[in-house]
Amino acid sequence: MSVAENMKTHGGRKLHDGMIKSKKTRTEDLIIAGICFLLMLVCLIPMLHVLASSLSSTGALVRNDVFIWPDGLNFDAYQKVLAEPKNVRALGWTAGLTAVCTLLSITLTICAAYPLIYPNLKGGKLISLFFLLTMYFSAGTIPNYLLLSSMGMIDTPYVLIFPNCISVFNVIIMRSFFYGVPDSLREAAEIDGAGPIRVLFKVYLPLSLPVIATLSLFYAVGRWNGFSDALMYLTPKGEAYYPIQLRLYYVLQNATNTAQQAAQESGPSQPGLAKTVQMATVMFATVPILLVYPWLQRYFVTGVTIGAVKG
Amino acid sequence: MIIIRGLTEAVGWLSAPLSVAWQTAEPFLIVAYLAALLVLSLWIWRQRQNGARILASAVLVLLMGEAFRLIPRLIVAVTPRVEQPDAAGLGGIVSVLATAGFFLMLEMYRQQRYGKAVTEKGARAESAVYILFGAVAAVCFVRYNEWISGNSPLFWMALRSILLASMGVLTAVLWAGAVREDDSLRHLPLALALMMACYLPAAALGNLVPEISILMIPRTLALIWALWIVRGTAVLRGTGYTFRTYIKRYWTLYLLLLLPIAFFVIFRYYPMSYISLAFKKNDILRHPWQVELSNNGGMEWFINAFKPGSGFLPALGNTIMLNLLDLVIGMPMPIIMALLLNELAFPRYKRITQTVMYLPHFLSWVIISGISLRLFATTDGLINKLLGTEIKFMEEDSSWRAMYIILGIWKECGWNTIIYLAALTGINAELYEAAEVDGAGRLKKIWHVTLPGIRSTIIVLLIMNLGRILGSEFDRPYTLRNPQVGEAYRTISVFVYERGIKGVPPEYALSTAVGLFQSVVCVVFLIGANTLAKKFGERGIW
Repeated sequence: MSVAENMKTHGGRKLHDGMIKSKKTRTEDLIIAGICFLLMLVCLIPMLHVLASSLSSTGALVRNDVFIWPDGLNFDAYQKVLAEPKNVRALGWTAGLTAVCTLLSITLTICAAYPLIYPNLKGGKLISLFFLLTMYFSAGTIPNYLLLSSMGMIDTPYVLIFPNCISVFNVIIMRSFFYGVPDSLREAAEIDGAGPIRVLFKVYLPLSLPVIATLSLFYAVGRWNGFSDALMYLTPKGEAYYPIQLRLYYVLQNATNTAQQAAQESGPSQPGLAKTVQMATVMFATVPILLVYPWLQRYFVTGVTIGAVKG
Repeated sequence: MIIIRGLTEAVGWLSAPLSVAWQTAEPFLIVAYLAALLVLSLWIWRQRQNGARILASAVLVLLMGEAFRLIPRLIVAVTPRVEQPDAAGLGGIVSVLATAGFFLMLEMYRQQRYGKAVTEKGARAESAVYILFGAVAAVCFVRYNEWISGNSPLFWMALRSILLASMGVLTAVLWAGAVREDDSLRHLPLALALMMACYLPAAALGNLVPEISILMIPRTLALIWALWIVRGTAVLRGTGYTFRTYIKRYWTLYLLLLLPIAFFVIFRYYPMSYISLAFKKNDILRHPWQVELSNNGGMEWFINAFKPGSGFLPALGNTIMLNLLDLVIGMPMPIIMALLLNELAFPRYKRITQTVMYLPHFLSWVIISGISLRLFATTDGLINKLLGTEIKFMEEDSSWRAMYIILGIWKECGWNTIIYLAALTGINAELYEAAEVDGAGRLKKIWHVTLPGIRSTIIVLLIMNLGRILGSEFDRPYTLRNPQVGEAYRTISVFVYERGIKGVPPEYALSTAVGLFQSVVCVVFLIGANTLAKKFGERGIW
């Protein structure tokens, strides 16, 4: 790359470092690029290894031959996971749950954030404080548990929906984004006789699609990945509502335990299969995230940055 | 017939949860009601309308009377149930006198605001209010009331009620005269009448039929309504923006806030009332407010937790140990990586790197524990195979701690660069050019321009991390644990779960105490770190 090209790529844009590259620094640049490549490998190889393991033959796994390419490609483990109705159920249930929760959460977050941007909202500061305080001081695990149990919500699907449906942090991000919308737009709409609700739908929501996408992603991933609430609030009586993470947790737990027992009792009978099944379950829990991630990732950096800078 | 049966069944079915709901809600409602009266009084005090201060004092007197009646109830509601006579005691005198005083001052305010009555009948009614007030006061101090014993004879109680009721009726009639001058008062007589209609039976028969005292709820609502109407008259009109137009324009905003506020009240603030369990006996059949204090004046669980052998001290140690390691090793990593990304000269390649490095953030700890199970297994794990060793990565306390930190870095390091990269965009490009003119190399520029540029961000994050030094995640240690690892995984959050929810039998009170200790220390640390940062001239987090 010539110096002139470098100028074209970097010079005009407001670059972070604002540096004008000279020929001397090029080897350094390559070294940095190399380090970044290694870091990418560190991020990716574990996932690829798991994928490869789940697709490999049990024999290859026992021989420990798998790196990032499956050895003896087959889908037995996936079939085995899907043959267990509990797993299929957990996958479907978690998908539905995630959709419902995301919709509810994002709606409530908009409801909480939008009114607070009105500078003359009476009591607005008090309400903000009311929300913010919960970030610094929370009741704690046991009080929350006792509340839910006194409401009779333990072992119902509601414990996975309501107790964590608003995140204060996301409300702050949303509010910061709304603040970024010029007041003049709102005032113009108000002069035209639009009430707050109409202003929200006509002005704010169309302009906030990136942040809505970002926060929806956060809520969806949070729900899909949610584990501790299910572990604490669902006993075996509520097994029908086990989300995929809890199911995966028990699959991993059981597999280690049975593998140990087998090893202690009579030596490995077929330990490889248990491992491929584990890895296949991990993949089932991961893949949905990998599927939505590339679509939404161009949004979330903007969203997070706004929250970080202004929040 | 069926409908009636169904209705009675529904009532019977609902009554238990309703009474429980009422029992728990009552203290909050009492506090909210008293606070509302106080705010109203202060607000009226600041108005410039003729006589506003009299009205403010009237509300204050009413507040005093209500406080004497309600605060004993509040105390009963939040303390253990013991059989005690519902003695109003001397508070009863204050309550009755204050109600009478309120009516008197309301009348005085009316005279100030709308002038004295012009007709002879009106004038008589006005003086009757004063006379009745005198009568109520006199009756209160007759010793046959037997205030102290709590069993006031029916006759004296009825007398007091009748006198008070006459005052109320008289006041309502007099205010009805003011409706002619001020249309906003048109509902006031109705509100006052409703209030008296609910109050009289409750006051007169309250001792005989306890259920009737439920009428105090509509009575209070009617009273609030009446006060609200009267409040409007204290506003100096014609000063532009009135409350009415404000509400008309913005009520939808409050409507939007309704659900979020309900969420925070129910799921964030209401559970805080259960914190008192930390000071109570381990009894969860009742709301902790109604449970007796634990031994040692309520400190039993805190004392037990700090006794050796309780298991809490090791958990505390683990928490601090893991968090400190995270702080010292985990926190610089994203900074280094952000600097690295910042120096990366190829924009498209940089975007790809970022995309890849943010990815692990979106994996749950359960998934990561599954991955680590494959990677770090002792005999057939990938890492041991590549190294040709048999290191027990996850199965010994010390190496487990290292893995805990490393996996934490793996998951969050890339993600945490975002905030630093955002701060880096704010650095003025001219600074770099100036440094370059001065002959600074790459490292010099990083040291003298880039790092100072993100210093405040680093400090803010440091504050937050210091505040969390005793905080603990649950998913991370709990999912990474395995049967071989000894104690290292048992942080406070895991301790609370294992002993509280999962415990056999569940030690709810102890776990609540431990959780409370943790929350309080976290808040104290956060405030401390923030103050310290401000002392050194940084922005802090609030």
